[in-house]
Amino acid sequence: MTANAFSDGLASIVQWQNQYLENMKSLFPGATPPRASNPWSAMFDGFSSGTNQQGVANNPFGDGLQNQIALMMKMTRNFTDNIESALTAAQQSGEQWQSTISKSLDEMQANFSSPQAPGFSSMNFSGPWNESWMAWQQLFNPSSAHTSVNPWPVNPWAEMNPMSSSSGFPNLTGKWPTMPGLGPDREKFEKFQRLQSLGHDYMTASFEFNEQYRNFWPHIIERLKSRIQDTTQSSDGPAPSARTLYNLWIDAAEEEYATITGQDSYQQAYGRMINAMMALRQASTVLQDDLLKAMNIPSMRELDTLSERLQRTRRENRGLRAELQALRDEISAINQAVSSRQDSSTTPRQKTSARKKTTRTKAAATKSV
Amino acid sequence: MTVQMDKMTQEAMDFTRNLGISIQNMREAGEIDAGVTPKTVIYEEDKLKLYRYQPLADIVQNKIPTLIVYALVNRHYMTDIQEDRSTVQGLLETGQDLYVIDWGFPDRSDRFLTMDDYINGYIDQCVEVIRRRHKLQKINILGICQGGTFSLCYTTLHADKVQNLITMVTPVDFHTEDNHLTKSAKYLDIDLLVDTIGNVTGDMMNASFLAMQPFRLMGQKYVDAVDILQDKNKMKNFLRMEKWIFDSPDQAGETFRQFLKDCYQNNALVKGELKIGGQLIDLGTLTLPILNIYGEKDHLVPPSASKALKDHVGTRDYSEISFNGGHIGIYVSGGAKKQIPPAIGAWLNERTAS
Repeated sequence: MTANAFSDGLASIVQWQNQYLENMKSLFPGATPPRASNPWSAMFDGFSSGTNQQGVANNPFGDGLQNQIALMMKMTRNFTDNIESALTAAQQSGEQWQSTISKSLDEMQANFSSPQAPGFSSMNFSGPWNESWMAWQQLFNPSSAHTSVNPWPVNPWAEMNPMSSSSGFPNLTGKWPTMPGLGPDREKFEKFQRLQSLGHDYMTASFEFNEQYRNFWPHIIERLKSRIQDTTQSSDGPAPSARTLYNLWIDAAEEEYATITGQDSYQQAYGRMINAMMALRQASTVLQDDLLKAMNIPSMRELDTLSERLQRTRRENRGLRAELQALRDEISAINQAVSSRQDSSTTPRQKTSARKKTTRTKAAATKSV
Repeated sequence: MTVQMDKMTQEAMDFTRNLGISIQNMREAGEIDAGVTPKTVIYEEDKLKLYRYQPLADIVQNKIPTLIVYALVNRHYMTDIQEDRSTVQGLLETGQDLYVIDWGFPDRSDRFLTMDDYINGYIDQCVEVIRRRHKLQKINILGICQGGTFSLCYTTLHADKVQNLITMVTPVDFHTEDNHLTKSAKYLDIDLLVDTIGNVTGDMMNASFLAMQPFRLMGQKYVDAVDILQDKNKMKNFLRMEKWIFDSPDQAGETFRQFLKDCYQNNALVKGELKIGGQLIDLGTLTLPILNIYGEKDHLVPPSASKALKDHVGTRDYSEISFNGGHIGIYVSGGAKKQIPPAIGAWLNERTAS
């Protein structure tokens, strides 16, 4: 089966997601209760399937957003599963809940600090942007013979996964021809080479962006531990509810997130990633337009030209309408002034004379026309 | 041993019960309505509709009508989301004669609409329509969020047509330290973005807004929802809000370009460098009465961004109302309904009487 960058991209998201979930589960071996016993799990399962609205899958960006919400639900489910398991384990072992939770969080922290940890890319808030890019990649799927703009028999983008983790993204040097093209397809060939370069820029920027979150999860756990301690104060106090722990986790996550995203280095990385993706998309649109032109379908470039001309015409119309209205108002004001002057100063005989004069003037005007 | 399994069990049981009822209620929810006050279309142009809300029969009317200019982000019915939480209803109760602009849903053919087209085109045309209907030289304007910024620009350019100006959660100084939207836009190449994608989709803007507090807005919100979805009325309220949040028109590319570059990135409005239709916007020329309302917990337009207006306008009749809530709560919370519309109504009525 031919590689499809789009499905591969999606698959890699699922892979990362699963890896993250497994990571969480592994922290509590054998302690996860049957799913049915945890109403939170049931809710999140239902919610995740509910938010995964297949019927509206025609909007890559919107779907990306929807996936983020579904992913957030799964993370929440996993968190509550584990917290509940830890508390259950504490009860069974007779150990104090604080130490059980603390031990679990320590393990979690160590796990997330390892170089193999999925880090922030498991959550990947650039997801909606990336998925938009992935949908666009369909253009390069060589298996779509009628719609692909890809001149090569393979999809060079398939190996480009913007979700690349700390292990870095694949070195694609040598995957594409780098020498100048010859013959009638020279210009087209150059466009692809430019795409190649922009694709590499985007991958680099995306990788650097994800790097901003290298210590995201360990820091959240650190904050969570501190918050649990602040909340419970006394070491032998009653265990807080799973919901309370969940809320503390959210607080910790938002605090850490705000700290990271508030930094200028983050903003720069974010800007570079979006800019690189836009440059890539813009270059791809040129090829897309070439394809549409070949199929005798109006291209986006042509539609934009028409829209711009139309808007310019509308703006001129607006100006003319305003001028016309101003003239009408002026004429109306003059007529009113003339009429009131006549009413106040003319006799009936004079009015008749004035009417005759007006009639003569109109006749003269008609002649001159 | 301090783990209280009975407490955990109770929590689980409560949650299960609420979840069951919530799901049943969701199944029976039916259509989610929003925008409850009767209104009539007065004027249409392209995708824009100008509505007039039906005035309340037994209340003395303010002679000067008020035009609500909503943002291009999301929909105007935020101000009229449900009967017991409608800013519109509250204003009608104070005798205001209200009009609102529904911008509609711009598509690719609207990509080249500029701020000039919106301000000197659509808004001015709506003001003209209302002035003619009421045979008035001036009307009141109430601008909301980005619509507030547009209203400030409009009033600066057409001071002869505006009697009183109200701005709500309106960004004025875009470079205050706590403005996270500005930070996220700081290094974006807006020209490249607009040239590439044309209109900026509602989904993209939603992603930016949700990314401000992703764990709360995409996770915790829905977990908390289980507590309230068991109550049918509360569920409807929740779903109306959900509808409003994701009922998001695209933003015309050229307008987005200028708004982001001039306002967010260059802070041109307070620097006196913003140009609309070739004319400089000088807030210092505004000498009409201005009421500026902001939310103390607004994370999209921080109070500091709104309060800056005071230092840049030339009017001697400047008032502020601070609301203890956020960007949305200022329209839809019970507390807002009691505080904000009566205060706006009183402020307008005082100035109309004089």
